[in-house]
Amino acid sequence: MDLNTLNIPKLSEEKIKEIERLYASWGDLREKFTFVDPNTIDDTSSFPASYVTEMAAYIDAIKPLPITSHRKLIGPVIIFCKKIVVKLFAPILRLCLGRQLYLNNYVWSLALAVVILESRVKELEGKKKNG
Amino acid sequence: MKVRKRTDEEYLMKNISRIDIAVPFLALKDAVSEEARCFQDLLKKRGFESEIFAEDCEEAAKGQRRPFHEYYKIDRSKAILIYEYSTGCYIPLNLLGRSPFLITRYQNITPSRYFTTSPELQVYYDTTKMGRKQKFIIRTITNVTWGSTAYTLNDLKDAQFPDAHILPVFRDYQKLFINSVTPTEEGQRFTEVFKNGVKKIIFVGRIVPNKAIHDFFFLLKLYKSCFNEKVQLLLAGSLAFPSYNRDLFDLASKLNLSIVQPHELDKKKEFDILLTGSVSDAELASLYRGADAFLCLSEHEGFCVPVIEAMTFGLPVIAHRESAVPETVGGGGVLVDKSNPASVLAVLHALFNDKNFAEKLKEKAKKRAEEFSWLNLEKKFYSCLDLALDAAIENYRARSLM
Repeated sequence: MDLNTLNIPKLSEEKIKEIERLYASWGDLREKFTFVDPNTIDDTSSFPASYVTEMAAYIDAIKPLPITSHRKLIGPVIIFCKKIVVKLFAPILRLCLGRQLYLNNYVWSLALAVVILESRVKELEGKKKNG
Repeated sequence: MKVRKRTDEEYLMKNISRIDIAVPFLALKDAVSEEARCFQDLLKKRGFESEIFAEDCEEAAKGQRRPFHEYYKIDRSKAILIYEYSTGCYIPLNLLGRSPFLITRYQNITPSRYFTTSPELQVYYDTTKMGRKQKFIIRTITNVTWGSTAYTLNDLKDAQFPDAHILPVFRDYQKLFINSVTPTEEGQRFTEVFKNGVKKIIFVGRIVPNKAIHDFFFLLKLYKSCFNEKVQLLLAGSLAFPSYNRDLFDLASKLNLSIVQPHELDKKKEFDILLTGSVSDAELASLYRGADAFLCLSEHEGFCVPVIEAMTFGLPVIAHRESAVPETVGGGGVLVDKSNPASVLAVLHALFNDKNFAEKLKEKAKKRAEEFSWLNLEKKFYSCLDLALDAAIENYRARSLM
């Protein structure tokens, strides 16, 4: 439930000001309880580098591509034919692309491992620098 | 894609006979371990063989798990593994290249910034950081994803986890309530606390920075100073980090708030904050039953199990609008913004002084808790499992063609 939808008595302006004044007076105390990661890589950001993330979309080689046609009139017929061809060759496609998928996974994992190791090295170097 | 519904026998006939669960660490009480045990029970109920494999475990939970390296000794030719992805560990690295059909269950990982304040927290900092980085590796071996909330799934969005579904955190929320209907001797430890008639706010969870326990202290002081009313705060949860505990005790003395721990209760009857430490189920139930409101000020939660537990006990819930908490609270409680303390205090004041408002909140809470009944959760689990099983059969069929 949102606060605005509740029918509760509002605090007086004086009371609100009193609360805000008191709360603001604890600025130093509250400061101690702010948590910031000193490392440059934010743990909620999309690490590693964006290109590795983009690669993820192309890993699944088996995932069927949308079947389209740019032709207006005979477009539906072409799409129908394409669908039949894809269906006919599906077992062979799966056979070939399955292996490709397996390889893609390996290659991508290795690329990631390198990026992760690099970042770890950077972190350790940073820590060493700061003593 | 419309999936044809198969029967359990059909799944078993297709040789998917075992569905195991892997967890980085198996404890007796935490949300991930408890959920793993629930999953195991439900899977066994459907006729699947199921074991819990853990990289490490608490001494007391040793009998409930097999070490993860033993997973490779079993026949996993057509197996399914549910991986409870909750922190960094070596399980995903071990699975690379030889993973069975993998369901990644994600309940969220606490951001490592909460573990930077003391060198003693370095291990938590490293494992949470490692955990977040591993999502890009786990994604490559994941076939199906179960997130506890839309918020947690959003956390995985940049790694593009496949076939994502929302499945709430599993546990028998009603069990705690039902088991405590008849009070036991064990649950009597805190009964004296409730005899003074003072309004009590409760929060349940480990005493850690991301739960923003320090903000409870500020709000309690503000309430006492501005309304001149007595309120007591009950914090039920293990005191996990000594450095944070020291900071909290220091803060309490600066704000002139008195803290007691259970062993001091006989001597100190008057207190502002009770730090119970780790409590048994019976004790926890007695605390829920005695409290007047459940307040959650957490800055980071992947679900927040105590919110639903409190609702089961019909406690009015007030929660800070952050991370997955609004999703969990739903319409069963009041969402506030703690950066505006006056608004939080206004709700608390209304709750303690307006019986109708309190009753309304209690009703809403109970209604919301019903949505998390064991029956509803079981239904959700099996529907997610059916989809995963169909995907697994398709996957193994495609693999056999290779």
